[in-house]
Amino acid sequence: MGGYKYIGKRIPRIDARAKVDGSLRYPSDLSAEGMIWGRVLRSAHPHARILSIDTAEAERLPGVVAVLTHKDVGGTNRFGIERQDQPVLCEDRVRYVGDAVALVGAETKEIAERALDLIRVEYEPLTLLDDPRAALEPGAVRLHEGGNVVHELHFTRGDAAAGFAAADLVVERTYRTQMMDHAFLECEAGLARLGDDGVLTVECCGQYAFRDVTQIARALDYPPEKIRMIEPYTGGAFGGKDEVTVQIHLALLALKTRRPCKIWLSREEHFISCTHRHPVEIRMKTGVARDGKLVAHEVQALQDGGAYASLTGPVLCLVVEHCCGPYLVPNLRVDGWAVYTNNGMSGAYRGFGATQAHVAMESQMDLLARGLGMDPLGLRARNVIRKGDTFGIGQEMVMAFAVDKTIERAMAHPLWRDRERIRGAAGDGAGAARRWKRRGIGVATCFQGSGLGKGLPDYAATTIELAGDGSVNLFQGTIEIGQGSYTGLAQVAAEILDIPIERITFIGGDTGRTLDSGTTTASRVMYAAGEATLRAARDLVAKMKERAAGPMGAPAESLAAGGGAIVSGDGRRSMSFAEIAALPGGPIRGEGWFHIPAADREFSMGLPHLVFCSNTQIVLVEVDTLTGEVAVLKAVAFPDCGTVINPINVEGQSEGGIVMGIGYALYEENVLEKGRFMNTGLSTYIVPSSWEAPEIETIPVEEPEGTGPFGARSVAEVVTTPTAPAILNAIEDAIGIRFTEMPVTPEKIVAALAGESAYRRGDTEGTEEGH
Amino acid sequence: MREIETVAARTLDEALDVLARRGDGIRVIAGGTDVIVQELERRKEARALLSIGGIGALRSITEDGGRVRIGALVTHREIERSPVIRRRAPLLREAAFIVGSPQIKNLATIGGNIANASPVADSVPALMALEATITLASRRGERRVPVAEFATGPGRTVRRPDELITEVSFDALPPDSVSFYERLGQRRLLSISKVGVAFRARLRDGRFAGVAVALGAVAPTVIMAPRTAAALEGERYSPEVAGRAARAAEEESRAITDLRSTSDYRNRMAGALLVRGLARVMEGRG
Repeated sequence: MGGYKYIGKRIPRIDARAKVDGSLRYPSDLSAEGMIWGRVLRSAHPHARILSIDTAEAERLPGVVAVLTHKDVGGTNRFGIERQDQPVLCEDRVRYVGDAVALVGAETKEIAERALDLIRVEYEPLTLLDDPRAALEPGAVRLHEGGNVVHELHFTRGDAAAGFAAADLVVERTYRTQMMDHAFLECEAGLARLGDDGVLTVECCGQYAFRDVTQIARALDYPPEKIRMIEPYTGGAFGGKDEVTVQIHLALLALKTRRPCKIWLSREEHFISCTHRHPVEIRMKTGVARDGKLVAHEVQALQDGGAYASLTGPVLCLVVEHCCGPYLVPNLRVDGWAVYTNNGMSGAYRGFGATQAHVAMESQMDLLARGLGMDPLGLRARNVIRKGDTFGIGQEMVMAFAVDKTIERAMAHPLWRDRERIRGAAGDGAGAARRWKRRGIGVATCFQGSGLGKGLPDYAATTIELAGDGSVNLFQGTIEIGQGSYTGLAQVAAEILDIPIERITFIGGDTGRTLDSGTTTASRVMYAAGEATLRAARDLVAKMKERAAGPMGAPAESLAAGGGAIVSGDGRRSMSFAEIAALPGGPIRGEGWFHIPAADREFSMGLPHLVFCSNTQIVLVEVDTLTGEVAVLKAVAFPDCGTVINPINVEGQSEGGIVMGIGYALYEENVLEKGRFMNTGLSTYIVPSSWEAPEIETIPVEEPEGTGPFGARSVAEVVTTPTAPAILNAIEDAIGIRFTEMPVTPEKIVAALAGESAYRRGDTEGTEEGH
Repeated sequence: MREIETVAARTLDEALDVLARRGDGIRVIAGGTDVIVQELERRKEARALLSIGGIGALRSITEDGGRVRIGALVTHREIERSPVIRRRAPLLREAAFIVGSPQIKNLATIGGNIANASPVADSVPALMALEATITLASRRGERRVPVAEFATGPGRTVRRPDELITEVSFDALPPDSVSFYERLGQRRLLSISKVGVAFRARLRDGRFAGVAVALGAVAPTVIMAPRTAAALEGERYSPEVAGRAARAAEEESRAITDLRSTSDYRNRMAGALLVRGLARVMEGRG
């Protein structure tokens, strides 16, 4: 990218040193003098009536400061991003095993834990609803007053039946995606304290500090102007800290005890209480003409939302919005339902429904290509959305979008071009392993909306202030959850101000100091907060020029920023930022804000989007037919994210996204039996380790978007979505078996090979080359 | 949350004294990688712990007259790095390598892995294939028990309350031996074994002799697989021979279904891992 000093450069994270040397404090590192520990009593049942809660014995335990129940909650006692149906502390009913029934504050963590054992709760178990299909039946037990349907959506375009009648090939499958944990490094944690002035300060993990203020204020009936949330550095989130986790409990304890209070969930408590990636059952029927043009598509999606709404409705919207993949389908019928059950909780998770939709659609595309005898990428190229198209449920592609180019690049990549030869080298082409190892190469493409979508407030704002020494303070309300956005945003400011990154002090995620800049979700930060930061930097430059114009004896329009100074047009006179800061006239502050462009017409909450990113991935897998193990050997990604602000960050997102996708395809699943979580530790909930990470190559396709900073869009979700379907496609390429239920464990592969393990077939047999 | 009394022994004598007095009421802890987890999860609830980690005398690996002796407090990391083990019992080195993480291997002891009597312990199949013997010491004296007879069920052993495992020993493998330990976990490393297969034999004129096969995670204890061994005894290696033995291993395996795997898969893998291991040591690469 031409002539930039900071944009597109491999600039190390501005927070790397403090994270490595340990001086940066994550929420779980916080402590305060006189602090008490909070612990939450979770429900003993997935569905039950609460008959009584007796806290007397727990209160008598020495060292216990408070035992709180719903009776101690002043406000609505409810929270939830989209609708507020989840109790802070349950009154008369529990709907999942993570439901909070009581809250203990004690002098030590150990006393708090002991006190939990002393709280007597009488329950009357109620009929369990653990099957989303049963939730829709007329006689089903109702989990909420309005029934069991959280949200439903139905769209038709064209005439699906006529389309299928005209199709040369129709493929129909039902896909089941599993519940998945975010498995972030830092479990939910924070510290709250109440000042003498009545200001409640909560330092905490999270993804939207300003909304957390609203949620606390509403639930506890405490004035929002007296609540300050500070949550700049969070130890991983991936959507799992978008909903309230410990915030309201921290606030309640601090208000009731007037002591600083800390909560830090154990891994087990995290697993049972947090929101997960929704399990979705998706039936797809897709018709194609002999020439490879998609002609009809029929989709039914049933999404298990768990006990409370959280973001289940909006996630269903994205399942529906992305159910055609990045392809044009003239005739479409889609029906989606999201229901309540007693199966834990689900909510925001990187990909937000688009991931589940693409697992199904990208599998369909491969089946169609196979059926037609077409190149899988060729079939995709024939159908992709281009700028100017009306697609899916009627969205319009009017912004920059380059999914076609990601596919072209993938087709030209050696892993795809030479795939016959690479496949033939299974087991490294020699030795005994050659007899039972099979290689396969698979591809998948995806797209995803940036931002919250139509009808939801979707803005970002940045303030940049000139400091006395000529450095600047950059105030940004979004949160650094490990993605590197603070570094990217600082690069944007550095480019406009023409000062080194080190001259920028970043102040993030603090409702007392930063402006509301929207959520740290939905692939929106680099795009929206980036543009707001660019505008704030320009505003600051304009104001410095105005201030300097008089003393420099030149009109402001003739001045420019350069090298940490305001410089005259002829370059002869200059005034450093520090000199400008010393001029009379008060502080100099630049502000910038940006609204993410939205469609004209709203289809449903947050539908549709207008700004999109995309990504194509190729993966090489090796299946051990003896043991059913699948090794992902190589992955190549072609993210379409606009201008790359920092290649290290894009590669980091891509690599993390791919490994997460490997976990989704092959390893991870929250296993529930009768509403109870069976694997609640990292020894039974298996995430991929560095041994499972393949060689990864990331080749960004830079299609600049005019509304984004220097042409940038975002990348956070499309980096993970294609991986799982690409692996499913590669497994079929390797062993000829199509899996439609994830994770694809060795057990499933060995069972599907049905007695055909290598030695059973007779060991003398050599490798069959290719397919 | 409980408080547990802890007694630390500095010498073997001290430890045996404590066990003689209160063996029933005290639980031995060495590296703690099993004990701490079990106590935290309340799968076991000890009233008191006897820490033996400081007994220096139980920390060495020696080879003497063809007999390899490993002190009970030798860690998995030390086994993995020991030149004696590398030369004399390579299958035990492979088993030690696969356990946990470097942090766990630096703490977890061989004595603890045996005492815990888990059917999924990785060192135990290797020791059983080596026909190793455990030394149990008490104030009453010493006795020796074959590793194969030590565990009687998950977490249950023939150790008496006043006894301490002090050593495990076995005959060094002769130079004409082949051996391996193969296992499958839910991921390559940092996972508990779903099934493990240990094998050792000598090669005489290209034929297997003195074959021993032990299977982990497929029964309430680690088990010997005599019919599998018999299928290989006296045979020359070929994939067909390995396949026949593998079917015997599948039949000898009696696995259950749990959160980590299915009985069907585990039983089949007892055979598959035998095939994989034999191919690796007999053909190179596998």
